[in-house]
Amino acid sequence: MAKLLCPYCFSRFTSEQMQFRCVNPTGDCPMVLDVELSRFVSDGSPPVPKPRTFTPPRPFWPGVPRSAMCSCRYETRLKLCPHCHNEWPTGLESTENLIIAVIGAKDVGKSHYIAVLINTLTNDFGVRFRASLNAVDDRTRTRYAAEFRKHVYEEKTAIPTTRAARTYPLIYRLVFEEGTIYKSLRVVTLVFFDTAGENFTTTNTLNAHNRYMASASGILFLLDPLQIPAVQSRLAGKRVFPEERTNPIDVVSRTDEVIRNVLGLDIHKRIRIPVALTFSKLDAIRELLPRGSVAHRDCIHQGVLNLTDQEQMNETMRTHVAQWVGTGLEQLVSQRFAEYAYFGVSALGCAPDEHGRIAGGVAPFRIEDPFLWLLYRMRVIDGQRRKTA
Amino acid sequence: MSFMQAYYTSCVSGLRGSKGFQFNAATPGFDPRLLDQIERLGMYAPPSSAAVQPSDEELARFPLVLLYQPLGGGQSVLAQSRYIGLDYSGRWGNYFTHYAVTENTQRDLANQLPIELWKSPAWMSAESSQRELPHVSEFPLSGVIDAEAVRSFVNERPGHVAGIVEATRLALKTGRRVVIVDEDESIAKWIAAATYALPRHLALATSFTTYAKSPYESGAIIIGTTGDSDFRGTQFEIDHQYSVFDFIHGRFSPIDVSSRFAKGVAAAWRQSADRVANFAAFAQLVDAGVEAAAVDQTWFGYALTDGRLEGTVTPADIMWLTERVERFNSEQMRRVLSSVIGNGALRFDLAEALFQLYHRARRTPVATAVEEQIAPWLAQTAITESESYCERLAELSPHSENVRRLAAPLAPQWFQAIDSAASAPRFAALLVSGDVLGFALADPRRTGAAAARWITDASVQARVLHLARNASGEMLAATVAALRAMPPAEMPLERIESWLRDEQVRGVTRDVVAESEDIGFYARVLTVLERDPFTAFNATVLTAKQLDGSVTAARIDEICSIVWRGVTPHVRDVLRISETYPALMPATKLLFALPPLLFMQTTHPEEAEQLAAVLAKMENRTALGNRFYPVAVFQARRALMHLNAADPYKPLETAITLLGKRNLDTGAAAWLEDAIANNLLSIRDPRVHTKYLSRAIAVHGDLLINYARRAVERLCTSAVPVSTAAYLFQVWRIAGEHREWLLAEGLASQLRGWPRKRVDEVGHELARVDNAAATAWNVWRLELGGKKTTFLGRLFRRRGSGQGGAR
Repeated sequence: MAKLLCPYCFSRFTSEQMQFRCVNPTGDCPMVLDVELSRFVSDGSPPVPKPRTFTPPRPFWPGVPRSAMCSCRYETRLKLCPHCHNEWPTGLESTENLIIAVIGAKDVGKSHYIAVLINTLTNDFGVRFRASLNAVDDRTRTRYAAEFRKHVYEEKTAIPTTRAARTYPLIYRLVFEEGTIYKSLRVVTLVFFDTAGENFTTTNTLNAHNRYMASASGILFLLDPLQIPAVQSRLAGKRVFPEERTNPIDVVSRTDEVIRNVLGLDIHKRIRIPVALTFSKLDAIRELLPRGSVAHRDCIHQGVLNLTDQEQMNETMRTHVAQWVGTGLEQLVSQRFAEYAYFGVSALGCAPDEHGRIAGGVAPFRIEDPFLWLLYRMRVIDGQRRKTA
Repeated sequence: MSFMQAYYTSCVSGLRGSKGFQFNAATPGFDPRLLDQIERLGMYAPPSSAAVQPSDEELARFPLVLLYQPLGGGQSVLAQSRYIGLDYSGRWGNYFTHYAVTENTQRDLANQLPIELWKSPAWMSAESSQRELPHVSEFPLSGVIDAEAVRSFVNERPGHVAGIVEATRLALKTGRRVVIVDEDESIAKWIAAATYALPRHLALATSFTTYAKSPYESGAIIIGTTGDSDFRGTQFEIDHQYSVFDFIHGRFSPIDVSSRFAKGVAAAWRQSADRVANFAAFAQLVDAGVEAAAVDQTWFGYALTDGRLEGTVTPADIMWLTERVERFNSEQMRRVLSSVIGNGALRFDLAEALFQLYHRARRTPVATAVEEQIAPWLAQTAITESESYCERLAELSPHSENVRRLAAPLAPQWFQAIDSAASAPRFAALLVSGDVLGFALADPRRTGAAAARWITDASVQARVLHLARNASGEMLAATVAALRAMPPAEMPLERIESWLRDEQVRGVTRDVVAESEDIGFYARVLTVLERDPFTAFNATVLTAKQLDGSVTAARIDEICSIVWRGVTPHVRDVLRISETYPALMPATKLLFALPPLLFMQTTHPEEAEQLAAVLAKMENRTALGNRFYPVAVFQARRALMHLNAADPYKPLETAITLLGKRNLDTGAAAWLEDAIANNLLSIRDPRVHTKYLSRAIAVHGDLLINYARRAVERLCTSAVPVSTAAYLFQVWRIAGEHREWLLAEGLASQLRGWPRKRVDEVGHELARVDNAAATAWNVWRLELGGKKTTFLGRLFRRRGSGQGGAR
């Protein structure tokens, strides 16, 4: 029987082990100290009393029951992970769950990328792919509104630096409409992790906060070209460079180490998780790319991934990366990961000014490319070779 | 006192060696795992409505975090977290957390509460250029939070102080978190209001944070937050999950503030800050380590020592005092008891508890203080109130000079009370208390006179005699004289029994009885004195012989009726009497013997035979056998139980004949009926059965009832003759208790054989005799019909006719 994967603690369990929390509004059901939840939070504080949890009797039909009857005779629908007691997102047990890990060093623009990607998927993407994206739970909705949309789209400012601690994921449901005559819906749950760049600076912190990477369906490495010394020397005097200078090879090799540790993977085998090596802030290095390069023009994917464009972009970025950081990155990635591709994106379209304001508003460029490629590798969408303009 | 420090912020260089959020500096020796643990605690998320790029003024308005969290193993962490906006790279979202970790919380926070460090000038908010920070011995207080400041704050908002205090206590007890939505400084003051009132160890167990954007992700006991936080505040959360005090939106959890602790603390905050602050010291002294659940009691003790009685005193309160009596000083104990006793009339259970307290305090330094308060109160209460207090007084330091000295002023009151005692129990109680307090011997003549007045009352005798023996010769003499003066015949056995509980009184009584010439009185006393009734009987008969020279049958009969008053003598006693006094065995004893004789026939056949033989001799001698036939009945039953195969019906004929005797005792007749009925039911030949049954019924009509009962019990009602309506109805009535099976079998099968006309006739016949019986008969017949009709019967039955069923 296929096991369910908790998006919070990444424990796997069978549908019969799913627990329920009684939320009897009359308060007849006694509160109990929730040790599991307290252990998950792990800040050393004593357990918090929560409504009681229970595992319902084994259902006649396999699968997770919609509801369960508590001993207080209240029928509850609130499901929980039996290991961490976090609320189980609605419908997660009956859909394909794809965890997208957005990984990158500090200041590469992970939060900006996620903020703009989700906004794009919510608005523009739907028409072209006959799909819709919506948040699964209130926590996601609130967090996206307060920590992402508020800054980028409402205040038009850069997103404040992300706090270095374990955060809850952003969970979305992507619904595709399939078929022409007999229409049906295909539902995919997307789990995005946006963690602070500080978490990628040592293997220890990576282990502590980013164990989700091993359970990811796709990894999106965000790399900041402005942190590469070769790029900085070529653009000297023209751009303001971040103070960070994280070597992309370090981040990739640490990630590889963590995934192999968690999965217990042999060093001789390559990791089969598709990896999108994505260079952010493409707008800032556009002048380093030759005129007529595919990286100068945006690509609108109409219902399918434009494979021709993706391959051209991959080759272009691979070539330039080799020039900027040498062939070490390519060698490392090709030896460690079975599937990978290079991308170049710009989430904001321009760099924020010295006050952190996005004066011209958000103008994303090729923001979908790596995400769509991951969906394509996960067989969620199709790809097609097309003539490029 | 020593705190390790650590700074955490987004900085260029720190302990991790790279840029970004990290520990900027820390005291050497910090365990890296501890740093990992506290990192999450000090995380700062600005409020949702806060400015994205705030000015300096706006920055100052960001909620300030002061958090305190015990970490286990005696460690705890204090931290101040402040939003500072820009980081080294010019990005917003930076904050600065200054941690202070103590290895020994009790030692390092012995003189100050964690919340008092609110805005302490020692808290830093700028990163250090050095990686190593020194230990800090002390955190200077800002003065923003102190008892007086909290008092004035609380008194401006008196409505919720009791709720917050009680909710905090509840949180420590059950883990139910307290969420306060307010300005950060107000939250700090609310936390102070709650923790000032707690015993020190509980205050140090109360973790808190003055601000958390998401209270759901904070594990603190008291969580402060802002109006725009992630806290949803659903009705379920407010009512059941959290104790919510939302001063911004006006949402409050229903908290029961009826506890004495909550009410007392709220009142104390109104009165003076010291009164609240001193409680911790009191709790440390008297009830160190008290649990949150029991702090109510500790507060009550504190209120008592403070001379401020709040609510009513319960025995549990006194028990609490009793368990901790040695921890109070004399002055405190005086104030406590003065508060309790001075509260007015006390219930007896409270007095009992005070009495326990007195006993516990005996060997402690506060013994004198306790005795000084309790002894006069108890003496006064004993004299003026109820008898129960006198018993307790009797147990109070017997003949203690101190008690007598304390109670001496009450002597005139006692004499007045004993002179005017309105009842014997009251007199006895006063006598007991007077004995303890030394009043009884102060004027023995006056006491003796009062004792003589009440000595005749049954309920006081034993106690008074007991006291009289202890008290003085005059009282004893007066008592015995009163006893002797009483006509013995008027003394009921209960009174004699009450005397004889005391060994010495028993001696006095024997003397009195020996002097008495009343054999009836003698017999009564001996019945109580001797466990074996036959011994009492024998002794009395012997005494009667000495007094009268001989003893008559009538005398023995009288003695027997006294010794076995209302009780059937045991068969062994009957045998012993009949063997000891064969010539004098009275006729009544035969009747006594009959039921056990017949009963023993089945249980103890040998003894029964022995008794029967004795009785047979006596019957012959006294010619009583012709009147009561006990032995004849015995023998007839024996014959029916052991049938002779040669002539099985002869015993039955004999028994039926005996049953027809006119003077046959009713009880014996019943035994005989039973035997006959059983024998009849065992006859298989219907002709013989009918013959003897008819004869028996002719001789003794009531036999039918007994027979029917037996038949019903043995499930063979088909053998019961129900040829006439009267018989049928009688049988039916007897069988009422067994109706279920009766409806299925037995009588019903007979009735089905009857023609409808005859069934109706039974109803008519019964109606003439007894309407109620006729109705009952018809109802039963209808029920019978409902149960046992055939398919066709049901098909053609007319509803309500009641005829189909009986057919």
